[in-house]
Amino acid sequence: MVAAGFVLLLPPLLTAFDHAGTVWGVPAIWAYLFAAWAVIIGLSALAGRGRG
Amino acid sequence: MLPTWLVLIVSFAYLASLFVVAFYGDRRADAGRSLISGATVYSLSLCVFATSWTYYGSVGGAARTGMSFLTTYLGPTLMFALGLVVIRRVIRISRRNKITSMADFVSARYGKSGLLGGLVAVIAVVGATPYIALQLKAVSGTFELIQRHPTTGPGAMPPWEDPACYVALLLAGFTILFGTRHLDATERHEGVVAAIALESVIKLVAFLAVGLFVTFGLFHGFGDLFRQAADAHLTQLFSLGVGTGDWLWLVLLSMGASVLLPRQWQMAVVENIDGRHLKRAAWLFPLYLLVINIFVLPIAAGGLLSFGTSTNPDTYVLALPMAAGQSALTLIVFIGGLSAATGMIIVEMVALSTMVSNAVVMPLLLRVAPRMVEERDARQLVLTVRRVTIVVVLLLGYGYFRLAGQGVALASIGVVSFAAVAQFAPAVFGGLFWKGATRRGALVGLSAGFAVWVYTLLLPTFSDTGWPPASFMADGPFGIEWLRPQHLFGLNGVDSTSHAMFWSMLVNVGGYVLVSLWRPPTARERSQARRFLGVRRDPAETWQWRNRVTVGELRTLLERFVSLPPDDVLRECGRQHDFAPTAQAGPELIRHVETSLAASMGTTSARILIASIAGEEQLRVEQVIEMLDEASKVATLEERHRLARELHDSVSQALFSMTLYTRATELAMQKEGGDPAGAVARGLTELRGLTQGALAEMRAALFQLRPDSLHEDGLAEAVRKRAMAMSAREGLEVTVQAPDDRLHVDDAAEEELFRVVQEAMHNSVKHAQPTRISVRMGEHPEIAGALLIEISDDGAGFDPDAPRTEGMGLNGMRERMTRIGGELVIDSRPTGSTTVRAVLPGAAPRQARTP
Repeated sequence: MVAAGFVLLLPPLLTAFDHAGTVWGVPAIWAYLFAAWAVIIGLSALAGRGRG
Repeated sequence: MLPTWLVLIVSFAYLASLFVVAFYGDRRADAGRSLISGATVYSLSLCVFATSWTYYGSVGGAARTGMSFLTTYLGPTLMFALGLVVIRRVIRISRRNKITSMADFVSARYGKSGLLGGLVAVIAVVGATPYIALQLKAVSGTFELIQRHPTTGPGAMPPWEDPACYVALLLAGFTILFGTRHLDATERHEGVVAAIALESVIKLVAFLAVGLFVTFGLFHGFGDLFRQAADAHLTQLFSLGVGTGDWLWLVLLSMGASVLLPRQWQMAVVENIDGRHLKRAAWLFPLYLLVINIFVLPIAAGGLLSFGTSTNPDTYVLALPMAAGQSALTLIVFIGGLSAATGMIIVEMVALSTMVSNAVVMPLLLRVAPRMVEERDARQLVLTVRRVTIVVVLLLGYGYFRLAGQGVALASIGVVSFAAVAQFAPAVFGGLFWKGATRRGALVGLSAGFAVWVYTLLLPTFSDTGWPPASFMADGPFGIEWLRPQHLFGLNGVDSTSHAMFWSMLVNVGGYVLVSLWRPPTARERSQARRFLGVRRDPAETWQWRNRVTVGELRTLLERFVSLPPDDVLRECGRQHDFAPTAQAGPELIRHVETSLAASMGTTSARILIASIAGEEQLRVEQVIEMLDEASKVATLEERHRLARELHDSVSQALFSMTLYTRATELAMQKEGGDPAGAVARGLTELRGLTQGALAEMRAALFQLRPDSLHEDGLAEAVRKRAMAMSAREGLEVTVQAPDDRLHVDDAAEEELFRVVQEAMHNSVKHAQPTRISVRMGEHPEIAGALLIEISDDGAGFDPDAPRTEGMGLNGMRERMTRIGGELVIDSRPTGSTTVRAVLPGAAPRQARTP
């Protein structure tokens, strides 16, 4: 999960969405960052529950 | 539009309600019914991370450079979602050693160094000053905006008209009232935490309100908003905004800041009442940051579309509802911004005042003017120092804002502070994992990193004031070009933050590591390091004091410096001690009193106070001997390894070649028609047997020389080798039945199991004269998941209950098994064979556990 977090939120994967126009009417980079962010938060919530 | 008086009244009413909440929180805490005992309140208190920078500055940042504002919030997500182990450890160590600030934490880790603690406190204060200025600037700027509406434009107010000045004074009052109410043994401030959690809710609600209004009120949803932005060619909104390297640095910076900022440390570590709360905070805190950031980009887009660049983008959040004539919303937004600013300032002040009083002023007073402390109520003195610190630091922040912060974007001021606290990262995090880190290393690294930070980041923020002169920035000091603050040694092509971080981290980490390696840690540093590294319990007390100390003397110290009843504090150490005033206090009790003193006075002062009655600490004699033993053990081990390696390379290889040659000679002789029953052939066979035996013996000896080969080979393989050697030496049959899979045990348990098997085989040979021994390892047929090792022989048995068995090491074997949570069963009769069974629950080979 640590690796996933870093890969998702740091370049170079990120640069693929830079200036990538829009997806469903919103900026692609904006949509991507928030989606990836939400996924990581969800994963860590699940991990916490699993441990508990 | 909004009249100024209304804004002022509502603001004061809001701040007054904070006082009420804090007061109520403290009352509940005193009554033992904590208001903040939930994980959610803890998570919300961490959201003090979101300040005016988030509230106003993010939109400004997004309008200027696109998505790069998000780095500030992605870092904490990574830290809390993924670096939780580290935070949990910091909390546990702090609780155990009653550490109440980061300065004390660092000082305690590196041999209770007063100098180091003081340095941390100073860096924290200097680093926080721009950040406090940022909050004041936001309050002042937004108030001005409302006041001057509809005219916009710059205008400097004298301080007495500047609301930031009054806000600063009011907040100083709040913090003094609730942050320094009394000297607490834990430095927890429940009232403050309750108020901060409330503020987190308010700023979130207010920000979401304005976000929804802009997106769905002023525009028709996200699609419409971004379509218009695209049409207007606002391309920065669709980009990362910074280079990839800068993005990385910014994320790393905010990762560190989410724990190392004084207010974050205060909330996450000091005010934590239950370590389990961290589990919820791990996702709730990042989730809060995500939610509060959703509307940042839409508001930035809306602001750019509505105002263009004529308005400072840092004020869009307020300017948009204001321009639309939404008075009520404007007021809500202003209060939200006020709560973001006040929350930060209050907690920062609590944290900084604790640090300054405990790590700088009190140690200085105790050393330089002990009389002064003697003559006064020491606890009152500490509180006074903290109160003065609060006022001074707030004035510093205000001064910085008036002097250097006028024309700059909010976010860029904040990053300066992030970079300052990032300097703590090597000393704090390194100290948690690296045993060899030393006080000197931390001192050199920290001060070098801080110096570079001052030169490359802090100094340039003053450039608008005329000092340093513009030529200093452009051409370097005295025209030396490679010393230009923002292009040190000619480094070009990165932004000023990345530039400063690169150089400061280079000298910080470099100094820390190299100096630590250069001189090994002293005995005191090592004994402190042991309290911080890995161990779940405190190591046994290894120090003693020079003078004889009585319980009465310790009591007097506690009476003077700790607000809890001294007898309660003493009893916490355990009831086995003699608490009569004339009784001699043992080292454990002295250490306990020192820790308790540290909770209210700081690590350094506590050490000075204890030394004042007990003399300097010194290592116990046993400890010195143990250290020598340890050193010689290491030397012996190295010698054995060397020997094993050489024997393996020379003798072992030679023996192996000899068996091959003997076999080859045998075959050659058969081919040439030699007599298979002749003397030569018999001699050769005998020779081959002997060489093979010698080789097996040699391998077993090598195995004994290198204990860690057990962990390389695994238990089964090790037992096989042992058995082979034994059968070669004793001329009996030893069979081993074992699965090849690794056992489900740790190194220590593996070692104990091996010794038990070895001992059992040895006993058998020595006492039973068997012809065969068999060893069987596998899952226990009756207990699921348990490992069963059976060692049986066909020799003469014995009565396991007879006193004669004492000499057979059975007790030792039993002890070994008990130590690793297993048991030993011996089945033997004087008339028959013997079977020794070792059972270890949960340790069956992995393969065997899955059906």
